[in-house]
Amino acid sequence: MINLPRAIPILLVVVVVVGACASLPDRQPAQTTDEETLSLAVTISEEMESGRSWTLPTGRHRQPIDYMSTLRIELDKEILRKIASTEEDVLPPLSGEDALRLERLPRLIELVQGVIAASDAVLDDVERLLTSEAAGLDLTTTAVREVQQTIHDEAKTRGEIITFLRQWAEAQAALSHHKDSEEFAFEVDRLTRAFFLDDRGRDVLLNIEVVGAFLCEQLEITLERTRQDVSAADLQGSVYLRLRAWLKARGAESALPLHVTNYDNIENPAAFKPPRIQYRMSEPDRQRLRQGFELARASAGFITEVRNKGDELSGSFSRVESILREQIDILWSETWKLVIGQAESIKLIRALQIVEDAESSPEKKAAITGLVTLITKINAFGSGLQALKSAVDERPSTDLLFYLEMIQDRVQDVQEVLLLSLEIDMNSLRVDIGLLRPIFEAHRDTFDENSQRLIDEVVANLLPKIEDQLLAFLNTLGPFEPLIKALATIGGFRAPTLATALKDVDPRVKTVPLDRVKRGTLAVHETPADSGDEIELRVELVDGEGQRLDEERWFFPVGRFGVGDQITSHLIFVDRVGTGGQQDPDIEFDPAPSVSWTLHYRIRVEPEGDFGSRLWTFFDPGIGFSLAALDFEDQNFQLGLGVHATLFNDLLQVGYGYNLNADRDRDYFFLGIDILQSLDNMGGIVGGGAK
Amino acid sequence: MTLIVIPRADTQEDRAEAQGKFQAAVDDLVTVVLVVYGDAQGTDEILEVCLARASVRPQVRRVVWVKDAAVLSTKQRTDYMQRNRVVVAIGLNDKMVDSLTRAKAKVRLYVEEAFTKAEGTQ
Repeated sequence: MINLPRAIPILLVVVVVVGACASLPDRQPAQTTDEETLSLAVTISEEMESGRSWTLPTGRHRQPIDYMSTLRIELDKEILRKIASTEEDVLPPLSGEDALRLERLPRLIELVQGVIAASDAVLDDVERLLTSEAAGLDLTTTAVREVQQTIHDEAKTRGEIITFLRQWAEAQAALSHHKDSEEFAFEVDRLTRAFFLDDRGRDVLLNIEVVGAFLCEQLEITLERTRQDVSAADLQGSVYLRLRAWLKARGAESALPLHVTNYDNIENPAAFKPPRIQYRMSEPDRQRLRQGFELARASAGFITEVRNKGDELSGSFSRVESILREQIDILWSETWKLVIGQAESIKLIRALQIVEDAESSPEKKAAITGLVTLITKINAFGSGLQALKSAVDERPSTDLLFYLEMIQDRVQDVQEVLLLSLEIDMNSLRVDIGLLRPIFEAHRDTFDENSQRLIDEVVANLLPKIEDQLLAFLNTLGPFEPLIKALATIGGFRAPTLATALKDVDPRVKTVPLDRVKRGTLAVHETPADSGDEIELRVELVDGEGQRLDEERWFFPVGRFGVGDQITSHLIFVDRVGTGGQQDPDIEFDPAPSVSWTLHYRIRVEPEGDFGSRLWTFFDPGIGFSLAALDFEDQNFQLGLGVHATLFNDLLQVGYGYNLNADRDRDYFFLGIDILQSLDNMGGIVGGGAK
Repeated sequence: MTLIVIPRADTQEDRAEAQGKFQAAVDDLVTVVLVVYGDAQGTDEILEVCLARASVRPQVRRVVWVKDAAVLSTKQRTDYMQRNRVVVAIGLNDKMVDSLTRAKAKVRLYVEEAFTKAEGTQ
C-alpha cells in the first residue's frame, strides 16, 4: 500500500486549480457588427419542464440550458427586413455611360422631336429680319432681341443633344485612345460624322433620322440593362432565412442535426432522457453505445433518403450508372480528345489575352473575352470529365455520397458549356472565329518576338483546327442533353442544390422567405441532449441562390438545472481515525477507489445575477453517499460507507466514512478526486481550453 | 457670305481695314462667328469643316479666316484669341464662348458644338 501524505497538499492545489479553470465561464466568440445586428432580430426563450420560461440573452453566445427544456426562437420580421435591406447592393454598379443614358435619354428623345420645328422657326425669323433690313427698314432693338431669343432657344435644345452625343462618343473613344491625342479626335469624328451628314454626304444641321436611330439603340441598351437589373434583383434581391440546430454530444466527433419546427423536415434522433434523480448507475458505456447507434441510424437514414431520391430517376441506380459509364466513355473518346488538348488551349488563351490587352474595339474585345471564357469552360469541362471517368472507374461501393457529389459538380460544368454552346451557336461561331484572324494579324507588329511567334502559330495552325473542333464539339454535345438532365435528376435536386447541400446545408433544411418567417421551436427534451452536451443554433440570411449573406450562431451548453444527481467514481485518500494496532496499523491517506452518488442543486445564472448565485455556480457543490473499497487490515476487501460533500461538479470530494468490515477504529476521513474529470479538464487546458 | 477672309497686312492702313472687317463680322447682331487662325498646313481641312457646318445655317453662321493674327488690334487679340487654339467661337453677345485645338477643329461634332454654343448665348 502506498502512503502519500506529502503529496496530498500538492495534489489538492492541482485539483483546485484544475477545478477553477474548468469552471471559468467560456470565452465569448468575437462578435462582428453584422452578428450584433442580426441578434437584435432574434429572441430566444427557454421554457422549463415546470412551464416557467425566461428569455435568454442573445448577446451572449454561450448560455447554459436545461436538458429537458424547450427553446422558442422568435424572429422580428421588421428588423430582419431592415437588415436585409442593408446587405450589399444586389445590382452591379452603373457605368458612367449607363448612368448618362438613364439620366438623359428620356429628355433627349423628347427634344429630338422638337428640333426640326425649332430650326424652321429660326430660319423664318432670321429671313424676316434680313428681308426688313434689305428693304431699308430700321431694325428695332426689340425685333433683334426677339430673333436672338429664337436662335438662343433653338441652340439650347440642340446643344443638349450634341452634348449627349459628344459625351457618348468621347466615352467610346477613351476606351482606346488618350484624350489629348489626335487619334482620339479622329475616333470621335468617325463615331459622330453620320449625325451631321445626309444620305448623300452633305452637311445638315442634324440628321434627325440617324440621331433618332441612335437614340433608339441607346434606349434598347438601357432597356436591356434594366431587364438584366430586374432579373438580377429578382434572383438576388430576395432574402430568405434559415434556422438550423445541431447537437454535439460530449466526446462525439460529429454533430447531429436537430429539428426546429417550421424550418426543416428533420426528425430528431430517438431520445433517451434519464430522470434528474435516478438512484442508479447510468452506465456511460451503454449510453455511448446507444448514442453511437443513434448516430449510425441517422447517417444510415440520410444515405437511404438520398438513394430514394435517386429512385425518382429510374428506381435503379445501377442502371443509371451503366448508362453513365457508357456515355462518358463515348463523350471522352469521341469528343473531348477531338476538342482542345490542354496545352493547345492554354496557348490560344494566352494569344487571345495578348490581343485583348491591345485591342481597341469594345465589340471585338467582348468577342475575344467571350471566347476566352468559352475555352476556359471547355477546359474545365474536360478536366471534370476526366475526374468523373476516374470516379466511375474506381468508385468504391460504399462511397456513394462522394460519388453523387462529384457527379453534380460535373453536371454544372456540362450545363454551363451547353448554355455557352447555345449562345455561340446562335451567334455563329464560325463568323466570330473568322473575325479573330485579322485581329491577330493586325496586331502582330505591336508585340514582342515571343508573342509574335505565338500569334503566328495560333493563326496558322491552331485557329482553323479549333474552328472545326469547336463546331464538331457543339454538334456532339447535342445528343447528351437528356443524359445531363438525367444526371441532374439523380438526387432529385438541381445540381447546385445538391452540391451545396452535401457540402454545407442539409437538404431537409428549408429556406423561408422573410415575410413567412414564424416562430421556431427546438424541443430540447425530445432530443438526446444531456448534461455535458452542447446545442448550436444558427440563424442565417441567404439570397435567392442560397448564398449566405449574414449569420448568427449561439452555443448552448446543456445541463440539468434544479435538483439532480450523478454517480461518479473517485480516487479517495483515506485517513483512518485512531491508530489501530500492530496488526492493523495506522492508515494515513491511503488511496482507494470509491463510487459516489451525489446530489446537486444547480441554478441558472442570469446575466445580471447576484454574486451569491455566481459563487454557487462557480463551486457547484454537492452532497451524497459513497461506497469505498478499503483495506484497513490487509484483508482482501473491506466496504466503507461514507457521506461526502463535493465541489466543482464532483471534481473534489471530502467526506467521513465507516468501515463496515474493520474490527475497531472503523471511522475514517477521506479526500477524493474524480480522476477522469481531472484528465478531461487537463486535456482541455493543455489543448487550448476547448471543452 | 459665309466666309470672310482677313488678309495679311503690311501697312497700317491695311491693318486698320482688316481690323474693321473683323470687328464688323463680330458685331453683326444676328450672326455667330467661328474665327480660324493661321495659314499652316492642315488649315484647309479646318476651313472645309467649319464652312460645311456654317453652310447648314448660312443666315446665322459666319467663318472668319484670319491668316495672320498680327493684323488684329491688341484688344481683338486679347478678346478673341486663346493660346494653343486655332478656332474660337464668338456668340451673339460678341463674346468668345468656345475654342478648339487643331485636332478638334477638324471634327464636325466639335465644330457644330462650338457654333451651337455661340448661338446659345444672348
